Amino acid sequence: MHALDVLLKENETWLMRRIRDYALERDYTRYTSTLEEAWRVSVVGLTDSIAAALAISEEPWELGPDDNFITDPVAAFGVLEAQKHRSRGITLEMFMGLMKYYRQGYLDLVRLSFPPLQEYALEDSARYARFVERVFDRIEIAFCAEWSRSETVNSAVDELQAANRQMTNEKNKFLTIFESLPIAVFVLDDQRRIVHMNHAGAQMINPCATSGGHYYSCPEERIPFPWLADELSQFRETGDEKEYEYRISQDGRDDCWVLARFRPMQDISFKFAGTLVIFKDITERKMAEEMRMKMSRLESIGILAAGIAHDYNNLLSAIVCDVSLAKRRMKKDDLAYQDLVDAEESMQQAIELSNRFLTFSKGGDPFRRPTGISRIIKESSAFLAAHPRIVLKEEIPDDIRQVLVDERQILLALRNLFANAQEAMPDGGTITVSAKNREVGSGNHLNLAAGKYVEISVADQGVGISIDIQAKIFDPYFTTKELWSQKGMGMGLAICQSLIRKHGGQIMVESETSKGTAMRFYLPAADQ
Amino acid sequence: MNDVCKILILCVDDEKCVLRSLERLFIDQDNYEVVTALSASEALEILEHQGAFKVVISDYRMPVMNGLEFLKAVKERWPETVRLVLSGYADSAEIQDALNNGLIYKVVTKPWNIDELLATVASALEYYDLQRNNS
Repeated sequence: MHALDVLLKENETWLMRRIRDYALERDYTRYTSTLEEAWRVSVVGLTDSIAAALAISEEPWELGPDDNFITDPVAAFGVLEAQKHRSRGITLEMFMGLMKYYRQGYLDLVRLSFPPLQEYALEDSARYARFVERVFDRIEIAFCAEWSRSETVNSAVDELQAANRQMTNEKNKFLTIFESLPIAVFVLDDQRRIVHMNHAGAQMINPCATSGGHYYSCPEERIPFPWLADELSQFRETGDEKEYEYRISQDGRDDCWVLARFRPMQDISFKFAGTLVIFKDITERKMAEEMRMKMSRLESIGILAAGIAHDYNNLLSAIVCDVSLAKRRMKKDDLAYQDLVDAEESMQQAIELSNRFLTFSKGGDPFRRPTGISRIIKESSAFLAAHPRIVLKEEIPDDIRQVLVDERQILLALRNLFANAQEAMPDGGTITVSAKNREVGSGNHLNLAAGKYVEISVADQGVGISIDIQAKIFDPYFTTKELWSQKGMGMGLAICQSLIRKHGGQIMVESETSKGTAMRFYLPAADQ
Repeated sequence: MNDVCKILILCVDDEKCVLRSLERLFIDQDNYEVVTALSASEALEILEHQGAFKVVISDYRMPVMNGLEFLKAVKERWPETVRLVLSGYADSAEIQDALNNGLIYKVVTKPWNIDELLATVASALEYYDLQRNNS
């Protein structure tokens, strides 16, 4: 056995302690065991590697550019350790650092065992140290080679592929969610062209669109976004996150209503990265709202018709009575007698017509009870909640008097006024509704009977009504809205006036162009 | 002598031509004297000044105070006066209620048949006398 080999094997325990002490001092023991026996395996392995080298040649095994360190019998131990430690998650830096103290431990042993005073010993010491150095060099290089070999690369690729698979799964999951959303979502670029859109959005552009079609087809030309151009430009300029109710005309399909929301998309440096447009379908709500307004208007017209029918019937009563009396006072051979008989016959038909009218409009008469006005205001303005840009401000004092009204009819009148106020402000605004207690003396300019009243006012911030038009607004069939559109038929204010006057009240308008309109009306108080 | 025995009938309607027709209708009836009022408040004033009328005929639909409200006031103040309603809305729930609970004696629909109206007034007067004798 070679002297070096003997030395190392006899001092196995010393080496273990020495290396452990270095590890302790340099803090490597945070990652290793501090027990001596734990170090024996590695020391035995290293000593065996040196013995294997000595068996090949007693001369230090120098390094060469073409050496194959991986298959080197001396380095076999290093390769094994590299695989073991890497899989345990130890880094190359940490492992190599500790290896340097193993080398130091072995070199310390060689230096201390051959006192430098003896000449022969010095020579041996230097030769043995050099031998140990080369063996450690070979082990370390083999170790590094193994660490960086294809397996490492493969595992890195494996890891990347696994991460990729996970990302793709995530992407597909969110793509499925995005595509399944019932609301239409678009991502637009700075020229208002569509970068992404989900299935609901694609179907609005093209009814035949298939789910995922836009995502996977990756169209080369971006489609321009066909709607809300002005609103989007304004949004780009101001960044105000507004909502728009928007009617979309679709070829061959019924128009639909959407609530459009814009959101800015920014990259991590807060630079413009696109605009998110979200469409919520509110067609059903709009339809219901329109239907409700239509019903209200129909009901109002019914009440108006009832008033006319009543007056007509009253006059007819007088005529029927007079003709009957005239006929009775005449001799049958009088020339005019037959005329009156004929008149009576025609009147019979008129009576039938009148009865039909009255039956149709039954209940047109106000059935008045003492009623709280704030409840009627709440109920009649409830539909405004569906208009997100309309703010309703109520100014009703606690001591407001009860009014003597037919609740249903005043509800209709107020709903007409609220609808007008809302339609006067298509871009939104505040509607102020107020109620005040009022006393009216005799001979007032409003032609009201003297007594206690409640004044109710509905004020908007809309375009206002010019003076020359103000006189006409209560005329039946007068309208500033699109004629015969669904919006109005010019009956709203005529009906309001008719309803309020029937209650012994009065309605008037105050308006200034571009400042808004206030409709004020008086209703008699329940307690006089 | 005749004047003293005249039967006073008060007619209330917000339509002048209706009142004129009623006046002409009763002119032929020797015993009747018709007084007219254009509103409930005017009628109440007349009642207050001229004392008890045997019959009051009122329209139902009038502004400020309607026929039923007026007749309710009449019933409280002059319970013997027989109350008739002359209305286009003879079948309205309120009028049916008023008939059932005795607020009104009878309803005549507009436009009225002159014979029917005269017969109803005659029966109202009989009813008035009957009430008088019983009390």
